[in-house]
Amino acid sequence: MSVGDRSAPSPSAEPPSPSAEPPSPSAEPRSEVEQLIEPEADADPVGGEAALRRARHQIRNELQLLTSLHALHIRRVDDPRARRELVRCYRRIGVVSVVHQLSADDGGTVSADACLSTVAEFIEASARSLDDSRRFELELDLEPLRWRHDHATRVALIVDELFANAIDHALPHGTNPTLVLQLAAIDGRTCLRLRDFGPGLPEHFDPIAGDTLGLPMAHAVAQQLGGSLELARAPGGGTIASLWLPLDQGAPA
Amino acid sequence: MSAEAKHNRARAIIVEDEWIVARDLQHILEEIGLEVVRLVRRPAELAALLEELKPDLLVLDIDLDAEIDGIELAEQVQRTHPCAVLFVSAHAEPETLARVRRVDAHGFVVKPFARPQLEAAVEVALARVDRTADHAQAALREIARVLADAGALPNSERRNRNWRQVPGLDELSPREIQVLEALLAHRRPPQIAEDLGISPHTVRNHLKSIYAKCGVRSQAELLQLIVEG
Repeated sequence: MSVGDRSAPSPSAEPPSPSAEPPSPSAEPRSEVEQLIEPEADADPVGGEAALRRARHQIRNELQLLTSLHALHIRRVDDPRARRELVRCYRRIGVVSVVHQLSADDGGTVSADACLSTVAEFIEASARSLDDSRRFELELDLEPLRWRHDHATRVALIVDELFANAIDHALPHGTNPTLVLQLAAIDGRTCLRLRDFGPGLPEHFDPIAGDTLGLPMAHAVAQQLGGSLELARAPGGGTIASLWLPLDQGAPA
Repeated sequence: MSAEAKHNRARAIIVEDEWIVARDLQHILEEIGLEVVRLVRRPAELAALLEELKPDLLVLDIDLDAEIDGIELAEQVQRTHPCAVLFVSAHAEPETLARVRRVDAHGFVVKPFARPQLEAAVEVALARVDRTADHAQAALREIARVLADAGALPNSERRNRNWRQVPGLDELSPREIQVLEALLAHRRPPQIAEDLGISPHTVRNHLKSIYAKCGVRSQAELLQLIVEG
């Protein structure tokens, strides 16, 4: 952590040493309650920008800690089922993390296509390096669109769930290990599609029923974002999962 | 894996003050065939090790919670021990790019990193270890690209507004504007030639003309002019 970072109070950080540190108003000791209260918006725009950067920087470092620690953990687990579940946890942290590589612009938005390609490549690499039997080929076809940063992390979690579904149910039963991710603006809405070439959905498939966490969560979060999630048989075999989101969420907040 | 064959003798030192991250980096580098000869937590420990261990690659965190940071450390090291330098940092701001420019860096990965990004950056950094001027500029462009992708540098829409304000760049021909915009969209000259249906030679001529109009000598200088004004 930089000297600048240490001015942010953190329970695990060592107390700043006065000799090594230039005096700074934010380094003054604050009471426990004060530490929980968000400071008022900085009137000085330059200071505000610096504080924002410090915060962003700290979030990135902490997400790095979590992804690295989970990666180390997975390497120590041999039991295939336990390992698979750990990989799922690792991927969830990972997809949110890589979205945090992106810095939101002044309007609070990030590039949706950059976000999706990084997320998809992260998932592909996780399959390749952590679970050799689940390798797949990734095809991306992404239109340049923008999303609110906080929406982008939720979309990333849904995308991870859709990939998990395809990896678990399509790849083991298909001959074409390709997954195609598309992003386009269609009829005033954002349409994100993941297509696999597996056996397709079972008859009378209800994605919200059952006691699984994944797809019901993906449906609920899609609705929370003002959109919807549809699963359908693809023409020519396989499944298409379509996440529809309002296009205007890319507009500055 | 081809990376394995290529780097099986490459030796790396990781300078990272977070043990968890250092171990993760170590595992990944080892899995792609590098030999991690030491994990270093404090910048002061590095100098003595360079002579003894002669690494090919230094993976450097920028924030080291020490008297100097990773960029300053790279600056010191490069005076005595030429080797590839790859920064892995949560710092992704224009100021970082400006500081990284002053050292001879070979790559940049933004934390929290995804494994393919790290693998690709290691591959590129080791390939550029010969450090010709062309390679140094290519490395710089790549670093700027990584930071631009992270949204740290002006995004394309904003950048398009900005470059027109650079003295000289307001006088470009329509074709030169196309070439410059393609360049700013991270297309490389051979791709630009293909995109625009013109020969690579013509692209080079357009680039030379753009450089002349704003008084720079290279793509790296042009990029710096646009990014830093």
